[in-house]
Amino acid sequence: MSPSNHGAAARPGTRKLVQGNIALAEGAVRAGLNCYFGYPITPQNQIPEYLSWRLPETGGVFLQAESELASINMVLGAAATGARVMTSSSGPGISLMQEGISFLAGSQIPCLIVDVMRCGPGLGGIKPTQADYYQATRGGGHGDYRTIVLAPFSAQEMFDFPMRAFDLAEHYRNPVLILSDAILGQLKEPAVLEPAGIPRPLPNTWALTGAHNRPARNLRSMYLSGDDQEIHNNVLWEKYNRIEQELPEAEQIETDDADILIVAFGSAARIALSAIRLAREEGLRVGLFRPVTLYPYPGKALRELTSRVNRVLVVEMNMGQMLDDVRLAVTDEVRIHFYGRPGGGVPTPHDILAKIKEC
Amino acid sequence: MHHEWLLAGFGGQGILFLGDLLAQAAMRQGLQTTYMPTYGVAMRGGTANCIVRLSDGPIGSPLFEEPDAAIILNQQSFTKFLPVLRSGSLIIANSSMIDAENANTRKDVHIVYVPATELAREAAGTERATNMIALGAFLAVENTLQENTIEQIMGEERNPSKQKLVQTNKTAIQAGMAYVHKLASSRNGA
Amino acid sequence: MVMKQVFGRPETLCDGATHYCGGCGHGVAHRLVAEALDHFGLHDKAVGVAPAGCSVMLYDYFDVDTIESAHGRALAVATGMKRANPSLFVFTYQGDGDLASIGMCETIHTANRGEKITVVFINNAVYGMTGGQMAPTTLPGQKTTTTPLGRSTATEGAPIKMAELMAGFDGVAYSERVAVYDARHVLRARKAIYRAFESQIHQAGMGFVEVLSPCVTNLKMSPEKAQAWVAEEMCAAFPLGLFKDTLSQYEKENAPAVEGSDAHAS
Repeated sequence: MSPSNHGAAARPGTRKLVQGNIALAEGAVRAGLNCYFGYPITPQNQIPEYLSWRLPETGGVFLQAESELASINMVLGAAATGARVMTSSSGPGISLMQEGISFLAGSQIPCLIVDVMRCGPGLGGIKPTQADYYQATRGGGHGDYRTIVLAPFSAQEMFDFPMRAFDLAEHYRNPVLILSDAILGQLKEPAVLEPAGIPRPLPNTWALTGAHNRPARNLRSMYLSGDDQEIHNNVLWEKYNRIEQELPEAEQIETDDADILIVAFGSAARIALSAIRLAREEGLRVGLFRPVTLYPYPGKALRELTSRVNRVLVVEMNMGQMLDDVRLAVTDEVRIHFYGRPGGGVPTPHDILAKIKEC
Repeated sequence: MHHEWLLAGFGGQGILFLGDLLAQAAMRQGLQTTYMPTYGVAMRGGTANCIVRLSDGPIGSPLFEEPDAAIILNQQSFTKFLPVLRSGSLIIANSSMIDAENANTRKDVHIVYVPATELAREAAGTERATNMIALGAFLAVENTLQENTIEQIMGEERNPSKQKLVQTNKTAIQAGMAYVHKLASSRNGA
Repeated sequence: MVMKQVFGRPETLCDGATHYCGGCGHGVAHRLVAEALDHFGLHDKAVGVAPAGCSVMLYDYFDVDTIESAHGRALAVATGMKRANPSLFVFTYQGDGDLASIGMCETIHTANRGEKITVVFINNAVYGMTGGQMAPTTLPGQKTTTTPLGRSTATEGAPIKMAELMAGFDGVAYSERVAVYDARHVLRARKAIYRAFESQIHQAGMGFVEVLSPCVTNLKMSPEKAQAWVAEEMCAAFPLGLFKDTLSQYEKENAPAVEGSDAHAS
């Protein structure tokens, strides 16, 4: 038996029953988090509440900002000094942050943004959803940019991903977004709250630390003269091309003998696992392809897998957003079915089983 | 082995604490477990409920689907959830707040009526131990979790201000178990 | 004969022409900020936060670390920097649209928290970079490209007096309004900027200076006339003066012990 539910099969250490939001907050602390800036919104409030006492224990800075606009720009300022910095929010708050995220991407400032998705549009409600997939994976704000997007699906991954996020953010000098949701945020399950590695902040060559014994530095996204803006954008896109080559990651569960493939991420993948168990009890050979990185999308691995398993059921807690990436990834020979529930609805394993039988 | 347990009552009856405790006990016994406070209108209007799953393998969905056992502490939750429980479910129902005479419209579930609130008052000196009476009753008939696992977890409470509460809770669990054992023996004797 | 240089370019002010219009007040204000950076020896630890507005390119003019910020968010960016690294000297340089309109929320909350940041606020009563639209500080009756009949206080409100507003916050140690339309006022402006720097250096609180500055292009005036307009029209609507100085009190209370008064001195 694995020591922890999902994502930590060979992980040594003591299991603790932990809420997803708390696991993420502690994971960030253990990843060397220096500063947190945020504004309350359900269902992610446990993250700032926890960090408000935990971060000062490690000498870090916690500040409740006056708004999400302020939060993300405080993140930008703090991260510009080379610190490990994060914010967290949900739905409307993440929408408010988009301008700032665009500036972070344009100025190539690394940081961690956590979206514990709640259903919309508008104020919506605090029920779970995955409807912020487009916003997360297509940039979200103005301009041609991307954020790296990680999709946890267990308390263990909520704990583990902040470390990965900071390492990736610094490596690529790009914001990283952890796309969680109300289920993963509120769920409690056992996890090993001991990091697999140690934080390794990169030696900094760009941060604003005062022009002591070096020329003055500048961080910006605006280039007005000549072709400079296009040159700058090409630099960004060379980076995104590298990210698309180097980073895509997916987990495959019970795909070896599968005739039908479910493609789902995050909470929907958890529910899909239950559906797969039901299906297999009835003799249906169903497997799961779970993207771990949503940007870059693990399209190549999906394409390879679907050359063998050509019946695909995409399951999302939205009306078909990741579906676009699946369509882009696979060939025309693959039959793609979709089952989604819009904000406010959550698919049940039996719902998914019924759809499997239609494939 | 896979269980889905529903715990339901109104806010202040310690439903979420109970769910957390059961999930901790499951983890302690080497099982996989999830605890999920239930979303939706049930969060409002004063009701509180959660789903605890226990399994010997990885758990997929942690959400409410079709519970196979339940601890229900108030009438509103009982009325709401009785129709959706799996056939053969075990239900510990707090008959201090649930109308046992007219309640059961299902013959395919096993309901144990326990006057948990009254017992809590009598045995533990506080209605706040209602959840622990019900837990004791549950442990007396559902064998997945051991009583001593629960007591072990409670015994690890290091906060001096909560030590007294721990003793109260242990007393209540014992009283809940004793009530069910007595019920069973009187039934067997009849 | 011994020649002594009595005037020159501050070291932290970069050499070269700026993009500012002839007669614009930014040049003078930049110089005063650079003089303060030099005076307090801040080249090695200063970070300047540029706003969106005419002064967005201040990174080309100051030889210190600089960062760009989204419109109105300079003080949030500055807060992040100062909190993450309190040893930095962080200053923002913002216009009226940036600080008093879109960024008002950040402005008052940063002041309220008493962030140890220096704020240089350039009030020229108009949106300069975008082409002369109404600013929160546009004068009653003043014609702009979005108030073609002149600003009506009935429908657009009255100009916002930032220096007075900022003085109301406990977290602000120093708040003064100055102008740069003649030499005497430029000298006073320099003193105010020095004091706003000292508010941060001494950890007393936020230091705030509002600089009334001419925008020749959007006022459609000659530099001379624009200077006169600032002196007469703007100064009438925005009285010059010191509105808050808890810095002086703070300095008295936290003054280093006078030499010899230390009992442990040998």
